[in-house]
Amino acid sequence: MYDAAAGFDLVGSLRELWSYREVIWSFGMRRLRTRYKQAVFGIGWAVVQPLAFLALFLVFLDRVVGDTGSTYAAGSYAALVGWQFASTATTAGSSALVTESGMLRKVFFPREAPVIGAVGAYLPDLAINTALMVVLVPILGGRFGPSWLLVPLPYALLCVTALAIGLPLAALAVYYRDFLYALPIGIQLLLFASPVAYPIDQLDERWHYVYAFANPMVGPLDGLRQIFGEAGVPDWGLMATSATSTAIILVLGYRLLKALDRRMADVV
Amino acid sequence: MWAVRFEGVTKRYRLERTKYRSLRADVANLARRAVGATPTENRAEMEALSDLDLEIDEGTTSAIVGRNGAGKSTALRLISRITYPSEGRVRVRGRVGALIEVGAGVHPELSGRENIGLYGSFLGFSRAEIKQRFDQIVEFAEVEHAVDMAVKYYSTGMKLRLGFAIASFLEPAIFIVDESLAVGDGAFQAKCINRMQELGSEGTTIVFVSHELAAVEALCEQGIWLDRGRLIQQGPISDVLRAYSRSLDQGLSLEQGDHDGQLRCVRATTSNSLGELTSTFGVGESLKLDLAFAGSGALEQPQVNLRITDGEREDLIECGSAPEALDSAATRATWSVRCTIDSLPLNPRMYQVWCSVLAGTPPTREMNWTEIGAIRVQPPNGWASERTMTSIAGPPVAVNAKWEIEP
Repeated sequence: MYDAAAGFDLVGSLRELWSYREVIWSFGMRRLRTRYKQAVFGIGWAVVQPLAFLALFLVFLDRVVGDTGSTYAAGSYAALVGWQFASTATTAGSSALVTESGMLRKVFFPREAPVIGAVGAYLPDLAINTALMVVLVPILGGRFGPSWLLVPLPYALLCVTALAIGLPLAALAVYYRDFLYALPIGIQLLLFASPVAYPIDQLDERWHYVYAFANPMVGPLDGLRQIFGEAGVPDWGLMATSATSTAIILVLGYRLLKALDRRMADVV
Repeated sequence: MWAVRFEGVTKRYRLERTKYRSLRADVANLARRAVGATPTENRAEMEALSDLDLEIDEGTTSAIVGRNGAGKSTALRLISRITYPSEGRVRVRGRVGALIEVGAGVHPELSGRENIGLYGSFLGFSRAEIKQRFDQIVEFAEVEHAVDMAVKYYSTGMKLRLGFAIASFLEPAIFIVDESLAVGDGAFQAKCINRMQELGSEGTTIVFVSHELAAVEALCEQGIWLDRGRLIQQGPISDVLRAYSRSLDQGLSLEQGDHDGQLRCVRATTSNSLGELTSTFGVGESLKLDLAFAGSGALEQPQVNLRITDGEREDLIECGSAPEALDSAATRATWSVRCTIDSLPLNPRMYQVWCSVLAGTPPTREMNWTEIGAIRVQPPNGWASERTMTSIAGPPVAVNAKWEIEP
């Protein structure tokens, strides 16, 4: 039973979302199945982008940034894999509701379901890239260590961050397509504002926490650099700072989506 | 016990000049407001439902009838939670299976099999429930041969069958069907109606919107008549349909508007063999159509053409007057003619009547095709009913055929 006049109720929304978990799964599977449908190279494309960027970094940035150290390539590669997942998942999540506008007009489902599905649909890409990374990182000069087992932590954080940004943007894009056009610009800028091409110690230590709070990708991306580049553990302070920032964005973003979802079918 | 309840529901749609909102325009308007100027947008609002109170009882089969724009589809969209009321509250008990449009939720790149899982999950069913009914769905939809083929290669009919089969075999508490049956062929429509009767007898609450009043009458117990967003009548289907078709009778007379010299049909009424004004006819009954026209002056050799359509197929009937038949009809600016169809060769459902006028030598078009009203054909009243089957879901044309056993 439902009551269309009821206001926002977090527990109720989450319970309903849980009962629609099959829908999330379906949205995810549908995206996954159709994504590389008519591409001969298929999911192989998922590994091309981080490798291409890595080549670019090695040829170009190595000279600009200068003293990058022997673990630069391995660390950057790990950060690139994480970055690619976060950026593609955020982009897909943000456009999920507009992409599903046909469904939006015809069927009821919790409006956050396609966003979660779209973000989740990039997890297989991440898994493939990670498998490749296990092979490539030692070749690139990284070290193998037990801390590699910690890798789900930064991944989980990146995943939640992509969702936290994707949820409100997806809802806003239903009303204003402008957000979809602005997003690629934001993502490109964010690449340079994240420790992907450069290690975080390029920045004065005083600013690390501010940086990790302002850009919640910083903690997990730096974590990936530590894990794969240095065989070390992530900086827990930075991880926690980014996680806090992500949590705040997630709560506000979810609330915004829930506030915007009522008239979506009328305006999309 | 109600299954659906509307409490003072008003639904407004904003009619905007552009379909998509742009941030630039909205920001510009905010700025205009801030300096006290009038915003440039024209935000007319359309009220699809006005303060509607309605209860649909659990386990009943109801039809929502009304003209275009009455708010029927909006009501269904509110029940199925696709959209929310602007005011008031909508309450629904139980899982809703909705077939709002053909192919809703069917993804062209995926196979029939994948789509059954997908669509089923959108309707809120678990994978186990879907799996359990998979064979029934495929069989009903008659897509056994194509179940692993991408749906983009399916015909419209196949897509419709698949959608209906999924929605109806997953045992929703409330089943909603909006017009979509009209797309299928006769055999499939009949099958769907059977399936809906089956669901109804199993206790599913069914809400059905259709212009095919004969199908509605055969299927539904309860009628809900909406007009311009308000509830006019709710009750037993025969009462509601009687009142609704009576209103269509009055609706057949056209309103008199401004006269700009163009030839217009100003009055169109239909009457039966007894001379009673009505827009409801039996199969094979005679129909008299009285038409009044107003133009700017006399017309030479007017030719009046009629068309009857059922909204889905090509024109079913076209009959025009010969040039000399109405030669002296239009000696003045306003004139009237009568057309008699001795035996209406149409099966039960709603039909639209259209009219156009040519005049002069060589003939030139004085009035374009204009819809002048709708008629409803009822199941036969004795006419050949002992020997011939007429089907509410079959093709529209009826013939007076006799069947006998050869000695």
